[in-house]
Amino acid sequence: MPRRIHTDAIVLLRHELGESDRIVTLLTCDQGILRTVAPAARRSKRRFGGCLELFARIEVSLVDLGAGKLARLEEAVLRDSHEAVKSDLLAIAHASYLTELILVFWKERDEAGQAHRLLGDALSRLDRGPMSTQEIRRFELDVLALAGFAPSLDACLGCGTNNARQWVFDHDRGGIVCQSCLTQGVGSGPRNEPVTPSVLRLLRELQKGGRVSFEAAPQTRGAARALLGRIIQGYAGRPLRAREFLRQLAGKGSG
Amino acid sequence: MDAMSRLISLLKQLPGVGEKTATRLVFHILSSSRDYGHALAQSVADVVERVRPCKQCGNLSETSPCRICTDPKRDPTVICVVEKVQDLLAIENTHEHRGLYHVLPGTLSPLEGRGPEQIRIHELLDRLEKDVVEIIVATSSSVEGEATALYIKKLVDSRGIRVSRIASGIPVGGELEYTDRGTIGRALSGRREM
Repeated sequence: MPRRIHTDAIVLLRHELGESDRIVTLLTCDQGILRTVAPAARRSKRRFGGCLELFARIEVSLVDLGAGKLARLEEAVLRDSHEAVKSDLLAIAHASYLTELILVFWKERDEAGQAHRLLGDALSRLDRGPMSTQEIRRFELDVLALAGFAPSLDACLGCGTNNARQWVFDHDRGGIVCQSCLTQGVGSGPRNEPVTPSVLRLLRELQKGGRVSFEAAPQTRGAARALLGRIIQGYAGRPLRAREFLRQLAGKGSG
Repeated sequence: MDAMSRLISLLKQLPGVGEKTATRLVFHILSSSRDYGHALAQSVADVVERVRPCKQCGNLSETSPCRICTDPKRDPTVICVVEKVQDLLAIENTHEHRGLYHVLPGTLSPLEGRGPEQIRIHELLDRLEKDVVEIIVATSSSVEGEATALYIKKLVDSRGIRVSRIASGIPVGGELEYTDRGTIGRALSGRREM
């Protein structure tokens, strides 16, 4: 049964369809991710104008034809085009990466109200310029937490201690294991990697959401970025395209 | 499959052509003179065999370098960068640009994994070794088009070459009342003194 929906949304993806239509993937505030078709969006600018640009926050009226079918976009009103993001290459790359993270962890029609808020806030933040590496890491950790994949960083998955000199991150179990548990065979699978105390401290503080209380060395920031990248790639099952773009763009320090 | 059905099924693969249109086209070819049919077939074969991208600018042409690249009346110090050959033709039709072109083709798209290596940006940089004084970036005003323009500017800035961007805003004959907010906003921020 077709359902008429009026909601707030962020444009995540757009693809051409046939001669004049466009497929637009939206992250809505209350219906999750919806794939919609915008009829004649490429031929006529009157109906949708610049509303269907990537990252735009829009108010949409659409007809939902049910799971497995494209919803039909009837009307869109631009609320925020994030013009400032579009004037900064690094901000575009960051916005793309954050968007891809959402696309990796939420499937069509999954409940995604908090993801909508998280991405909306991040895009508003990007209007002021590219994010710092810590802001990107915090976003990654927030996405993992909202999607139910928060890495367990507080205590050893084996014995529960939070005080050890050496740690490894066990990708199969999604958390840290202390050295003494490791020698007893806990977390000794092929997919584990050492984590230095400083990286662990940085990630713990970022995960708690407050201000980081120390100035992390570049190596620490780099190792935290690499570890989170591998965690995310493990869940995504593939390298993230926008992350590779970021790497090509600016090399070190781009997030 | 007989010859008529085969032609209909081939024509159906063209953009905007469905079964009915393809059938109508075939009947039109059959009702025209035999010479027309042969000329059409030969013309399609010639396009397929002879037309290639120009090694210099990426334009589609029977010669490489193409007619535009070898035209002595064109200004080789100004290069207009476009996403696709159709955009080059659109600009050519205005007669406003007397310089050369560079067809990328495509735009940077972080979300689709299209980076600088997937489009001909490095070939553009090679062309800048000659006496280029200005690059006009005529990519679309989408996020991807803007990203491409910004990336080109970033690469070229240090070479002392002027990088300009085509204007965007209210179309000729357009009415403000029916123009979307984003376009009006851009038109205002990109206003120029009279």
